[in-house]
Amino acid sequence: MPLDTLSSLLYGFSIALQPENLLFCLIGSVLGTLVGVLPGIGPVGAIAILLPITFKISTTGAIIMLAGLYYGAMYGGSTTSILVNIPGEAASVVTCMDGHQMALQGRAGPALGISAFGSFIAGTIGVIGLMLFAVPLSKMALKFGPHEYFSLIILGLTFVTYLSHGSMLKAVMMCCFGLMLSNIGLDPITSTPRITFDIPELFDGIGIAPVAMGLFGIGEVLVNLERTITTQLVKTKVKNLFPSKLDWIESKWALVRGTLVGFFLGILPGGGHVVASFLSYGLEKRLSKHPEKFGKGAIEGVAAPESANNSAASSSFIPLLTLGIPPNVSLSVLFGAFLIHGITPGPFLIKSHPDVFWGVLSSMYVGNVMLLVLNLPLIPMWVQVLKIPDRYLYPLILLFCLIGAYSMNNNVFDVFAMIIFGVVGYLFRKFEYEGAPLVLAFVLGPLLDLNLRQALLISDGKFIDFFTRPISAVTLGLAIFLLLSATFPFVTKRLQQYRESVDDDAL
Amino acid sequence: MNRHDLTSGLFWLGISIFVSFQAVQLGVGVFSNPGPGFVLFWSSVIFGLLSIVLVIKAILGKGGQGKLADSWKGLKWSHVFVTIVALFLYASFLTRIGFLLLTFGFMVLLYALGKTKPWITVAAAFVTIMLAYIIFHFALQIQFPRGILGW
Repeated sequence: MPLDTLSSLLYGFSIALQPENLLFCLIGSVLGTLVGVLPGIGPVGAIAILLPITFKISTTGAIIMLAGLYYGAMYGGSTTSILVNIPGEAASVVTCMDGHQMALQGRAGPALGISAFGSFIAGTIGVIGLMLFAVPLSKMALKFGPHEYFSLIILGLTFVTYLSHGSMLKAVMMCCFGLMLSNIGLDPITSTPRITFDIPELFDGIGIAPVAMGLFGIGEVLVNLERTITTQLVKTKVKNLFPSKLDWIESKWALVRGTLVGFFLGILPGGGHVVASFLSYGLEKRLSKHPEKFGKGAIEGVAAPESANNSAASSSFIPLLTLGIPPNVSLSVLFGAFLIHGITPGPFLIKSHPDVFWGVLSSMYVGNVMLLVLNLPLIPMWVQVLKIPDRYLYPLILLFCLIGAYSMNNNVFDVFAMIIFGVVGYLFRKFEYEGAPLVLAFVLGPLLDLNLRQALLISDGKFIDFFTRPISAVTLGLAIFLLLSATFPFVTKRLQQYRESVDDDAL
Repeated sequence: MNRHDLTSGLFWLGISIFVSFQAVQLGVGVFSNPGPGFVLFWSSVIFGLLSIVLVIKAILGKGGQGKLADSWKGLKWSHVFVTIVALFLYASFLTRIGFLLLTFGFMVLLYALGKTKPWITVAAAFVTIMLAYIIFHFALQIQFPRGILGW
């Protein structure tokens, strides 16, 4: 490790270990686990709800807390998957398959244990990778111009639509809709009001918090309100949380492979941690000498996806912190948090705000330790949390959303905006549209607008310039390839078959 | 025919036409000098074209022949409807009635939807509102509308 990186890391620890920041890290990690445990609200909604509250605390503290919430949710998601067979978080869907089977066989303890240890090991390795990759990548990103940024944003949006769960056509449409929504407000170059209907509150555009809280908080609650969900807890004592020697031997390579798969997929835009968990499970099943055990309680089937999603959660910070491009919807809300606190993530972050960069990075080491130390002894508590009836839980989530939206600017405009997006989110689920491409495009929209127009001005309107610059050409070429490949029938068919097989396996 | 996609596709088509008109009014500009409506215009054009594709696919497609109302069949949609109305009413009257009083009523309504006993509903709403006020107003110093009670 280079000496300056080591000294920067020590500087980061001096910030992360301040009592105030330790407390924020603890709050974020615990809330993240809670959000992960509880089905019905994910990290996106939770980060959005907490976002307005962070106005009152320091930027570093705020980001430490929200980041803790994000990776904490990955830890918590496995608990519900294993004990109730309901994934608390999208990335834990695949953990249900073998985790719940283990619980039914009286091995809930080792399943929860390997999930927690795997998450810790992968999360920590992911943070080390983040530290080693971030500095050189941000130095490289300093050479990026508007052409490169535009192409990278297009690639990010293409990935998120390519990897969407439902119809790709609808996902691309949601990207366009997100871009259109992001254009509401004053034009950054000419200050012309765009689709503001002379409403002063719209001059600054619609905030990310009302959009995300509406789509992922209110929308989720509304969908759940009309259903009767019965959660069936496994009636077994959770004991022997420390996996046996045999469990470790059986799952060691699954942990290593899951970590590597997660790390590299996490960097890619488009919901890396969810894809990583599915892919690592598939890979493990394919490489296993006993693939028939998968789905019937194989410990590798828990270790691989859990390490993959945690490793991906750490590495997904690389594009956010170095390029200023959030790779998934949770981090796009976190991107909004940076902006609200007056900081633009990107290649200048390390130089202009080293306290935030190194403080947040170091806090991730601390957060992973906290999650391991807290989670194992607190599993009985999380089991009790699962018993909270929905009739009390959902009104509370709605109240938090309302308070969060109001406290943004102390006016009801944001509350109305959030409720409208809540109804939109509810209807999206009915009409099978995804909110993630919309939110990512909504966050990246202003960047895309600015960089595209700047690039065209520089190039005197020549689009060919996007293909004459090497980085821009490669990223845009990859985006075009992905879009075209999805339109080829045989590729689409194979992709659909793969998705169906994964979905069938997951259910 | 897929009625869900047909309905949503036509709705999105309407949105795209509206936005593209707005973009033209703002000024699309030219490629060498893009105007404030440039991205808005092109994204709405692509959006509109994709909406047309969705509508055509919906007309030619086989899935989803059921009525639109089928999406709500067998579900407690009335709970959703009441909650949405309550949310809009809450936002409309928040500054006039005030946080404490209105939130208390709102929580009573939401807890009542869960069919709890009346006294539990009222007690839970009271505890919730008090805790929320202590955490958000006193600890996090969020200023809520005082309304008719004046506190």
